[in-house]
Amino acid sequence: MTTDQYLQSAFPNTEPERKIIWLNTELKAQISKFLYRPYKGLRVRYWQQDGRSVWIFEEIGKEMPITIGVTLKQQQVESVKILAFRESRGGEVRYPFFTDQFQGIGLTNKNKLSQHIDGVTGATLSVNAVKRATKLALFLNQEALKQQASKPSQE
Amino acid sequence: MSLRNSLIYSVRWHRRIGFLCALFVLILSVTGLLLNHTSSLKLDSIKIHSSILANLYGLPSPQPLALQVNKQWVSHDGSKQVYLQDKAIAQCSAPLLGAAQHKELLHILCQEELLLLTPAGELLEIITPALGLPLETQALAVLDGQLLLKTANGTLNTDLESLQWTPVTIAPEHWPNPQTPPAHLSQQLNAQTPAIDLEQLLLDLHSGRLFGGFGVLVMDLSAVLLIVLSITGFVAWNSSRLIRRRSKR
Repeated sequence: MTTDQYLQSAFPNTEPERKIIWLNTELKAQISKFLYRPYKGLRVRYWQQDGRSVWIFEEIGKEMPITIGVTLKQQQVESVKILAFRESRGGEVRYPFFTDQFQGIGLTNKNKLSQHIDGVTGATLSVNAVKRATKLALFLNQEALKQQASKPSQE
Repeated sequence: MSLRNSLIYSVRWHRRIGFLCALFVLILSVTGLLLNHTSSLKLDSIKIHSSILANLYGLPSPQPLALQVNKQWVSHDGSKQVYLQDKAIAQCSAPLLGAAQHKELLHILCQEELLLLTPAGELLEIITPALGLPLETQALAVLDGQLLLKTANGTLNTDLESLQWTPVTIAPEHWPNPQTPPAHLSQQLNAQTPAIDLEQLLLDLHSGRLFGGFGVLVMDLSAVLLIVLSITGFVAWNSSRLIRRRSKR
């Protein structure tokens, strides 16, 4: 599935707003904790419309990047979709029996996923990559909403 | 066979075999001695950069490329690393396809990514096909204030605010092409060729694996020759001992 197709399925019949969240040093440090590696870049793109937002990340499973789309609504996961899987093993994470587990999940106060996700035998690294991307989307969405809420008061 | 003949044959073969495997014995003993002290000599932390070794190990030989943007050199080591002058600024997949300054930002086009950097070389964002970057990109240029992307399907005007690529009919006369880096950059980039640690090199030299299956066979043969050498040495010593004893009688 391409990014455009995923966006169309997340925002049927509407054109979502393209947004950017800027990352300061503190945010980058927090993101690095989720990802277990330094985050490269100073900004992240996302799409938003009617309280729904879509985040697309590329996370390394074992060796190759997995393109992961995460749709959020009211700070909870509406859907997780694997847009491109390039690894030779662990492709089970593409299937709904795995991705459907993320529906309705949020982030706890300790920035952890609010529900347990069952692993897939032989696909541990890919499962972890999808969990990291989902956690990152939930965290950045939370921060983006905070930034949006603080904007009018600054003006 | 008489004792005298036995002595002559064993000494002759001992000499021949000794001469034949002298080099291998030297390699085996020197590498063996060094390997016995790997930890104290910290051999695993000594890295060797060599294109000959990289070829022997079948490692990819990177082809560095560079391009000048606003009097600054943007270069790629042919593997992953991108440099602005001599500073490592980001990583992207080889080869480097183009680089251009547009709206105060530095844009670097690699095989699968478009990197956006501040003029100081701080990475702002990596645009990948997942974010809509067109496939089969070939070059990058700025013309009439537009950031143009050359692809297999034509030239596209790039709008990175809205992440949209629109086909256009204009194109520069010559697309800037990355070239072999100048000498001062080449030296730095060549130092980034894949490194092999000394411990691994010694192990593979000791076992002969450095030269593949043939090398292992040669080392096996030299080990067999060492066994033969000890036998011929014993036979020669024993024959001369018996001859001396008989002559005394």
